[in-house]
Amino acid sequence: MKKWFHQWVSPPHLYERADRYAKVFLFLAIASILVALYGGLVLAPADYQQGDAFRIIYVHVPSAWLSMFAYAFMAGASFVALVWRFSAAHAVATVIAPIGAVFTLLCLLTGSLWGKPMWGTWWEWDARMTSELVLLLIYLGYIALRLSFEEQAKADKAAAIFALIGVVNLPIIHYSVYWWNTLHQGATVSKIGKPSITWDMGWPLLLMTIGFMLFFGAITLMATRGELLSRERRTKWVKELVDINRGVN
Amino acid sequence: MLLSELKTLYKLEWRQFSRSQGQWLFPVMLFILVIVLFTVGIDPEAHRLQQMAPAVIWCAFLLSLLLALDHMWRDDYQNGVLEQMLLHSESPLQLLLHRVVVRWVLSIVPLLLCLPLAISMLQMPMTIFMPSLLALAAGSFVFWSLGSALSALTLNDRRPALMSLLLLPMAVPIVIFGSRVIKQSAMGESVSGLVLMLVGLSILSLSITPWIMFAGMRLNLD
Repeated sequence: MKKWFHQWVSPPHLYERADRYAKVFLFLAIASILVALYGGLVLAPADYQQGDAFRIIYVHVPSAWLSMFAYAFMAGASFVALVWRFSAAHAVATVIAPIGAVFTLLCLLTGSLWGKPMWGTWWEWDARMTSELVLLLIYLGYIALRLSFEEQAKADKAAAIFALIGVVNLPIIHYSVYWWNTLHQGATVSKIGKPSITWDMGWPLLLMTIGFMLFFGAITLMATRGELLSRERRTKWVKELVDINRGVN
Repeated sequence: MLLSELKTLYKLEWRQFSRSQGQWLFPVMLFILVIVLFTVGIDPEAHRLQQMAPAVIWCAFLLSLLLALDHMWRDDYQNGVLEQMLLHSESPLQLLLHRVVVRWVLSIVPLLLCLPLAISMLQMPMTIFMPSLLALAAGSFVFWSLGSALSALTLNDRRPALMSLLLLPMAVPIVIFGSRVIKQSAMGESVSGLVLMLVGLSILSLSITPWIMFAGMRLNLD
C-alpha cells in the first residue's frame, strides 16, 4: 500500500506512470467520444420542440459538468498538497486551472450558441449561466494569483488557499444566484420547456460525459508531466532523463 | 499581556486614522461619485432611479470599500511594521482580527453617514434607512474580512487590481441579498430573514478568514 502510494506522489514515478495512463485514457476518450458523437448526431431522434438544434447538448452539458468536476478536482489536489505537502499535487492543481477554465468557456460559448435560436438572445441571465460565468472568473483569478508570484513554493501555497476559499464560496454563490433568478424571472427557465430526456437521447450524453472525463484525465496527466519537468528541472532524475534522450538522438 | 497589546493597537490605529490627512474621505467621495455617474447615465426620473437604487447603492458601497481595503496591510507590510507586529505578539491571530474590525468600523462609519444622502439622491423613501444600514453593515463585514484575507494572500504583488479581481466574484451573494433588502424594505415588506442571512454570512467569514489572513501573511513574510 505504502509503495503504491509512493509511486503516485513521487515526481519521477508519477512522470513515468502518467505517460502510460494518459495514453490509455486518451484512447478510451477518443473511442467513447466518437461513438457518442455517432449516437448523438445520427442515431438520436430530433427533439420535437427544438429539432436538430438540441444536439449541441452533447457538447454543452458534458463541458458544464466537467467545468465543475475540474474545480472539485483542483481543490482536492490543493487540499492534499497543503495538508500532506505533496509537491506533485501542486503540479496537478496548477495544470487543471487552465483546463477547467477552457471547459467553462466552452460551456458558456455553446450555451450562448444554443440560446440564440431557442431563447432569441445570446445571453440570458439564467441562474446556471450566471454561476458558470462566476466560476470562469474564479478560475481566471486563480491563474492570475499564481502568476503574480515569482517563487514557486509561495505561488503554490497561495493558490491552494485560494482554491479552498473558492470551495466554500462557490456553493454560496451558486445557491444565491439560483434564489435571485427564481425570484426575478422564472419564465425564462421554463421557456426551454425541458422534457425529461429519453434513453435514445440520453445514452450518447452519458457516454459523451464519460469521454470528456477521460479526455480531461488524459490532458491533465500529459500537462502534469510537462509541469513536473519544468518544476524539477534542477533535480537529478530530470537531468538523467535529458541525457538519455540526447543519447538516443 | 494581550490586553496591553490591543490597547497599543487601538491607539496606533486611531493615530493613523487621525493623521491620514483626509485619506478616509477618499472612499466617501468615491461612493458619491459612483452614484452621480450612474444617475447621469440615465434619465433621472424617480421611478427609474428607484428601480436602480438597490444595485447602485451596493455597487458604490463595495467599490468604496475596495479603495479602503487597499491600505489594509500594504503600508505596514512595506515598512516592516506588520512583521514586527506578528513577531512580538502573543496571539497574532487575535491581533489581526482586532485590526480588521477596527479598520472596518473606521471605513464604514463615514460611508454609512452618507447613506441618507444617497437615499435622497436616488429618491428612495427614508423608511429604508434602518434596514439598509443593517444590511450594509453586515454585508460589508463579509466583504471586508474576505478582502483582508485576500490582500494578505496577495501582499507581495504590487498591483492592487489583483485583489479586486479575486474578491469581486465572491461579492455576488452579498449584492444579491443586500440589494434585495433595500428593494423589499422600500415596498414595505419584512426583511429580517435577508438581514439575518447576511449576518450569518458575516459570522461564517469571521470564523474562517483570520486563518487565511495568517497563512497568507506567513507565506508572504518569509
